[in-house]
Amino acid sequence: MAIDTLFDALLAMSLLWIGWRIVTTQADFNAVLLFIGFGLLLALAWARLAAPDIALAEAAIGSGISGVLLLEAWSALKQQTVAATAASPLQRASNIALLAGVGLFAIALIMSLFTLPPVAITLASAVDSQLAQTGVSHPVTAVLLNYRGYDTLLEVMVVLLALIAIVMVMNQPNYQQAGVQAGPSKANNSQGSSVSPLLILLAIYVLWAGAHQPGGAFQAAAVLTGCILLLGFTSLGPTLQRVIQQQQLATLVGLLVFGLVAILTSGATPMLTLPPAYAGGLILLIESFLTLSLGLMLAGFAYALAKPQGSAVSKKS
Amino acid sequence: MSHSHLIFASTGILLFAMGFAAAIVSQAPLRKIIALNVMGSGIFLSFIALGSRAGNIDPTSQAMVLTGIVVAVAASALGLALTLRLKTLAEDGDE
Repeated sequence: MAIDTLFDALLAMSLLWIGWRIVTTQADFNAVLLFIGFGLLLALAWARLAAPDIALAEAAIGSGISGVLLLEAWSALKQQTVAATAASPLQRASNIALLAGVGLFAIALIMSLFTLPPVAITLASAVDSQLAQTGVSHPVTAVLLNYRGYDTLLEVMVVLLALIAIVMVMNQPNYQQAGVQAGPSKANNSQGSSVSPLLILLAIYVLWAGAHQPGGAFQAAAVLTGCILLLGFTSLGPTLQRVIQQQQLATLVGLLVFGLVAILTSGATPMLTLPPAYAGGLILLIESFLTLSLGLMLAGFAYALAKPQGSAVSKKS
Repeated sequence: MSHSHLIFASTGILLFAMGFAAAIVSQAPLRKIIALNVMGSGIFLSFIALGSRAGNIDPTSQAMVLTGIVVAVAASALGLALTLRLKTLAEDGDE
């Protein structure tokens, strides 16, 4: 029972308490803000579990970008009058039954933690044994881009599919157009534009660091997204918007490069088996374009969900 | 299994349970999406805590959770887009 166990217990209780507040609070806005805080606290838990890569991703993507998206959705929905329908007795009874069932399920699962069989396979040693062949020295990056490159390729496809679906659903052919609420008055101009070179530098550093320490394409992409969204609020916003609009290919280039590598390496060996001699360079190439594309795609989510300039009311008149 | 792993694995299970119940009980779609995210975070937390319970850090499960976080954001964004669209459709229907 050391001090770090005490810390973990406190952290876990805070997580549970914020989680409880998220699901029970009345106001939607509170739930959104609590969720952002929840993500940051969760990043601390990842750090405690020796998973710094996930901590970075959680803080930047799980908390930051999700937060932006939720806030945008909240601001578009807030005019909606919430018709608080009183629960009928039947509904109330079924809710209580559900809560009891879920509670019992959770208790059973937690009890099962004490009777888990010993660990049969450890993938860590398998990852380590071939690490020298992967072209990078950070095991998580090796798994993402080399051992399980196929998963990552499909993941980027999922993100692209989601973006296409969102743009279609929102019925905005040029999703960039509606996004950034143009007008230099929005936020502190000079701050946004003076911070952005640093942010781009940071994104490149995070990308580069991924080869040998925590970091990589996803975290760098999140930084890039933040930079794009920040610039959207400055006087550069409209110009940036136009440039991005004309460069739709940039959204696809990550997937194209990744796919090209997959095709070129699909000879005798299974797909995406990178030759050790070129693995480091190929991973850096894939990751660089992935960062650009993922950054633009995540920013595309935010653009698509932002409240269009012409609201539904003015459209009708 | 160390105390830390046990603590975080249990926390993950409880978060999953809370999110699951809230996703069903809550009425507003926005709250359902947030609840689903809490549920997902619970799964990720248990997954990593159990993946490293032997004492060594497992890069494979960490890479899977990284992928999961990005996919979760994409899914949430799609859910939010559908919610917003639903609202505009409802408004058009009212008027």
